[in-house]
Amino acid sequence: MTTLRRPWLWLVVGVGVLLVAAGMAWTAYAADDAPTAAPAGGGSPMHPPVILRDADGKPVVETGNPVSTIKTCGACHDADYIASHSYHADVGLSAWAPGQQAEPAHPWDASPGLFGRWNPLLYRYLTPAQGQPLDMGTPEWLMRFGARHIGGGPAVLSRDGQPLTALTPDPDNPETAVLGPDGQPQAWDWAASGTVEMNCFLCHLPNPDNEARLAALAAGQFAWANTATLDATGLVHATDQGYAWNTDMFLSDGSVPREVLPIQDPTSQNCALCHGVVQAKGDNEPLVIRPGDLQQWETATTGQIFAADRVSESGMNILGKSDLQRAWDVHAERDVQCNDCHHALNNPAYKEEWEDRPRYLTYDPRRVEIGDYLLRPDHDFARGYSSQVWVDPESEGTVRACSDCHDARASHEDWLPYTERHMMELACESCHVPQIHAPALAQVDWTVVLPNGQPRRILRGIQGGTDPVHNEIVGFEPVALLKAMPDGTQKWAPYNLVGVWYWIYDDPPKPVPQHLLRAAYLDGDAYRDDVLAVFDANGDGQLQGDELRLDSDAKVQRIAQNLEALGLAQPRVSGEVMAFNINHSIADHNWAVRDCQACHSESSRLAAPMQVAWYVPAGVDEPSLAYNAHVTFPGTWERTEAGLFFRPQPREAGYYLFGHSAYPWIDWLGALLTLGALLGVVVHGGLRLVGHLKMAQEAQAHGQVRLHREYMYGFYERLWHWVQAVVIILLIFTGLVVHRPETFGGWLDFPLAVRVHNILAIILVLNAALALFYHLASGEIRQFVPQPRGFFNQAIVQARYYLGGIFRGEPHPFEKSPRRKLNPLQQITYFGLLNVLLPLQILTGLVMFGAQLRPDLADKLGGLRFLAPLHTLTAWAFAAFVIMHIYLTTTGPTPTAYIKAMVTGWEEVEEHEGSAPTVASADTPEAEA
Amino acid sequence: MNRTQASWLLLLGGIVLFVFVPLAVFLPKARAAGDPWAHVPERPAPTDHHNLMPGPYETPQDVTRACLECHPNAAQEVMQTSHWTWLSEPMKAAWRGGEEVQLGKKNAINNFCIGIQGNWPGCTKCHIGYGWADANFDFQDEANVDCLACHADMTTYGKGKAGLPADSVDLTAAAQSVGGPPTRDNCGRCHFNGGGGNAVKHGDLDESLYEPDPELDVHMGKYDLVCVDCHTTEHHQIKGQALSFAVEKHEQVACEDCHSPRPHEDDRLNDHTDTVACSTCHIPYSARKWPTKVWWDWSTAGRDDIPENHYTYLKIKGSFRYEKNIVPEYYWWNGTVSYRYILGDEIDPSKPTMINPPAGDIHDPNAKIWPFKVHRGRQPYDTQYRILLQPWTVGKGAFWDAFDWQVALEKGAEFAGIPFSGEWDFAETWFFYPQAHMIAPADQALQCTDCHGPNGRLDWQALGYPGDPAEWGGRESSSK
Repeated sequence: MTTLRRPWLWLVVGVGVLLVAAGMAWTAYAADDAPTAAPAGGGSPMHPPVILRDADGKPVVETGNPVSTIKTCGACHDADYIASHSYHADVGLSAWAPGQQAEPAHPWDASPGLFGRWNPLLYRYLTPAQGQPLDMGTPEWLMRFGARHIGGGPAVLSRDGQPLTALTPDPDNPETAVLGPDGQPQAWDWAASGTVEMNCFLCHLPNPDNEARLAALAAGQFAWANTATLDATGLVHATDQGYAWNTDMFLSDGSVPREVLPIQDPTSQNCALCHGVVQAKGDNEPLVIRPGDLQQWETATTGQIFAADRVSESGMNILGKSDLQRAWDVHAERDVQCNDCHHALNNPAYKEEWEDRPRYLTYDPRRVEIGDYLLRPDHDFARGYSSQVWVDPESEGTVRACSDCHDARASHEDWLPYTERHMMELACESCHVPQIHAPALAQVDWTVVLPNGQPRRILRGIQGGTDPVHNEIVGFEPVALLKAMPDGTQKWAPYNLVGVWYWIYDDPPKPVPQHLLRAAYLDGDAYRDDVLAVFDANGDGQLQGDELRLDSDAKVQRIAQNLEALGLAQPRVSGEVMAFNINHSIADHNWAVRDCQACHSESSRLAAPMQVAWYVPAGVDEPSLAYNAHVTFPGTWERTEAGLFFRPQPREAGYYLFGHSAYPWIDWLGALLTLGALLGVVVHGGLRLVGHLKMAQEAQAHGQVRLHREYMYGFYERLWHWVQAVVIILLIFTGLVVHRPETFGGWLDFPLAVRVHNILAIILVLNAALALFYHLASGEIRQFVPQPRGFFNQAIVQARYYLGGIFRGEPHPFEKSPRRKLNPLQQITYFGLLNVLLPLQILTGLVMFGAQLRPDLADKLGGLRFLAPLHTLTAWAFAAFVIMHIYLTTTGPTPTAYIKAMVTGWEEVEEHEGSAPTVASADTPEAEA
Repeated sequence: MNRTQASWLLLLGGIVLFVFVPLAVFLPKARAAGDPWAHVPERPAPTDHHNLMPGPYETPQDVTRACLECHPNAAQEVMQTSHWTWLSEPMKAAWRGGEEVQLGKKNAINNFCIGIQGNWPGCTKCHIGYGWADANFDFQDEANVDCLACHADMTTYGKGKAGLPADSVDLTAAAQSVGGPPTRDNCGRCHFNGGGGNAVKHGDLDESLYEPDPELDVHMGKYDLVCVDCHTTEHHQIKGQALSFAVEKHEQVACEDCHSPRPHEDDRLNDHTDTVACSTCHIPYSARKWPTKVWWDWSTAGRDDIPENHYTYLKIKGSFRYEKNIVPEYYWWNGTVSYRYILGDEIDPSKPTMINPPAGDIHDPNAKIWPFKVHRGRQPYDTQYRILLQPWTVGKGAFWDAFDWQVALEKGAEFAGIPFSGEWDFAETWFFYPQAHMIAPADQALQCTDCHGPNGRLDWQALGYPGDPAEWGGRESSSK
């Protein structure tokens, strides 16, 4: 059994639910003999049989009228509350204010929703006010856009809140006018057509007949649209006039048996009718989508599919399908329904943690009980921070976030280095939507029209056509953009981009009506001769392929003139890029991006470009990005022969991505420094060798340099030195792997390199600290401190020795002794190393390591963009030092004398005039056993 | 050791201690996964018997006697097993007030060919002995043990009536072919053909397992296991127990013999293993290659007006239905039966009689949800005594010869030692086969929504849950 954090809370809710359930079950039992069995084909066993009523509240079985959902469902539920608490019904009507929409909005938008906000994909423009040329009036909006509208709101009420049926038919009023076949407005009589109440059946029946509903809407039979939704239940049948009730299906009291009308909690299938492709495992039909079909909105715009089936089981021609043994969406696979996350906001089962509670309270028992909820369920559903939804801003961010159900730390920290940091900067979807295995819209060009009046559409993720069964679906990798949260934070998240080009006219601008655009291009179903004259390059009387593109000023001018001739002032081409956020099609851990180098490499997927245009109409600047919410575009536009691309630039956006964001000049500089050191020692060593060989003959003449043995380094000194040596070399190598995994990652796995690097760094710091303590406590620290007096002279002497005397076999200018181990040049080198380089390296490293806990601290110190290159440069300096240091160990009396000394402690020391051995070898008991 | 060496060693030790030990300690460890192969027994090297069995052999018993010269205990060991006795150990039958019973093919009936008594020559073809042709078979004669059935190369050997070698068998060649441990062919010849033909009986055992695809059986097809790798054997006692006569629990082959009880990467899946048998998810369908018999109606047997077809009707047996890719039925099962029909038990002919219903329910901590193939059928019963009857089918004048139910049932009752009133009809019976073979590769295992959610294949309420345990909680909370 799962552990419940608040067992008593669940108990209270549980008991409440049980009591109500028991009550309702008893009621149901009293009315029906089968209290517990769910009706065949779904439906809640708790919902009683329903008496279908008409707008007057009379049973439809008696009157034969269309069903009124408000009167039918309103018998028990507060239907007015539901209808007024639903942005699905409202779709912007309540915020109707032409030209006064808050950003981001087009200047010509009249509302934030489907009713009044112009959507370039749907194109048709709802004419906002009387006096404008009619593009689309309210009746036509309902015929066309009603397909993805639940009814209620603007399907019932006028823009000023009156019943539509009360409006006087008037061809000049866009609320009561439709475009006739001749392009002239005609009056629409709402009283005759009826209106569309909020359609409870569409979401609460297991088998709503959406096709019948769409047909009724398209035919303008608005009063019958909701009744048509019942077509599949057998309760009605279509007639010439609308629908007729099959009275034998009704019980004597006018109600309908539960088996016939099984009311249920909405399932994902219900949502799918308007939102996209959903398929539950078990319906055995191989999944096939209709690419680009906007009735499958989310799927068309992003390729998202919320289905339990495996990709391999689909009926589509997907590249490498047989290996894609993953579900389209892991949540669907695990039986999560849409409304589990997009729940009714006042559903007591989904009561969220109480965020702004007083400190001393953990639970408030005074809340909506289940009975109250069933009376007035809030139909504003929890939703996220969508880039393309603007209605009901209060409900933004109410959707169940990943972290509401998942403890990402628990599942990542045992393998993902810098877990916190990743969670802070990346939306879960960034890795858990590794690939979209379906096509999605990529470019929609409304500057031209096909003979059927449609724009040119280009899909990404499918090759050679748009038929998902025969053309090959290769899918696509979403582009990474920064999703901006209202609290000011932002995260990388996956998106699909759609480039849209269209004509606007007038000032303030408006989109060109579709029928006029069509008229500018077409004469009936054929292209106009004046258009063909400019567009038809091969003269075959058809416009195909590249011909139908506004790729020259001549073409643009031709169409502009045609539009002007149709009465449109200043026609011009405009464009925008629509970003669609991707939050579904989630892959489980086996399929998510787990390879560090997917991002931490030169070809990082965080920086992968996305094409938004295969051609850009002539004379158009970069498309506008202004009409997207909660998203910023952290990168650059690249316009090439192939089209227009957006390329994210993480480093320029302030994100230093290890393995990807390296500055080449830093590495060139560092490599130069290191190579310089290498070259220096090679040349110096060569000269020494030459000198040595020359002197070999004269050695006898000069006589031997006298040597004696000194106990130079104590055991601890040798130990800390060698530990540090090993650690520094390993740090340099692991650092290289992290820095440029493509070049150096062959021998070590990236995440392993990161972890080894971090552990070694801690060892380095501890070792340095202990050594510092030793040197301070023993006073040996003085060895490292240059003595001001005579220092420069001595340094010059030492330098001259290295540049001259050493080649001639001269003795070292300063005698080395346990009291004075370092010559002046060493002193200044170590002084710099230990006081500048090492602390700098430790500090930059530490801050970068700590950036996941205290990102503010890292930001104060310049951010990773500054710290990381500095760390890299210092590392190069260390590498140069190591080379010099190792070389200089060979400059003793014999090439290995110094190394031996650092191992055994005993060093052969040159004897200088006037000096005497400080320690007799006899003092050491085990001299040379 | 000189001073230099000592210094080297000390410093090296220090570096290891201060650099590499911390690395080893603090680097994340890969989770140790159990290796199932560690539990797979090593197969003994084959012994070439060509020179050991020179022959020639007059009778199959001569072969056995030759075997016993080197393996003196083998026959006695075999004679202790149910392969020989066709009877279980004495067990207490709870539904008979704790009466001690011994059940087996020898004396119990099923709903396929029903029973062997009186029909020995036909049925004992699969007995591990020679010559069980009537009730007088000598179960004490070591020479009657058939070593070759399990140890010969099956290209050289085959059994015929009463378990005797088929006429064409060259006994010397068969004896010389003996080598390693029993192969799939040795086991499969009987076990893949239970119920009278390939794939008829079990749903998870058929001839496709001689050379299975990896997709069909991951153990045998991909990893090349043979039957006795899991059905391990000691002194000829082969591990494993069919549900047919499992009145008490015996040692059973289990996935956990080799696999961890929590073998999945995902804890959510591992949380299932206390409640759900491995095969429930890992056998997505039964009879994935050959159709298996799911319905057998004896009442139409003997008619000439129905066209004969292997899969639908045979005059000697009646009407059938075969299915393949069957969605199994799911029941709680603790390894035993809650009841086993014994000859003479009264039935209620108005409803199906469960011959061997699996024992266990949601409250039984030892029970898990298992997949079953259920064989349903209609078989003769005595309408007056309300007991199932066992027809005499094999022999001159028996049902398969004369098609006379009156004679077949009267004579059969005599053989079986049960009364017969002379009045009979046909009653529906069910026979249960838990599915444990033909394990599919992991990526074909059932997924969440195969069981959970609106279209799931499990009937939660029938299993004793208030509803889908994904929503209502598991058996711990449901069984309170």
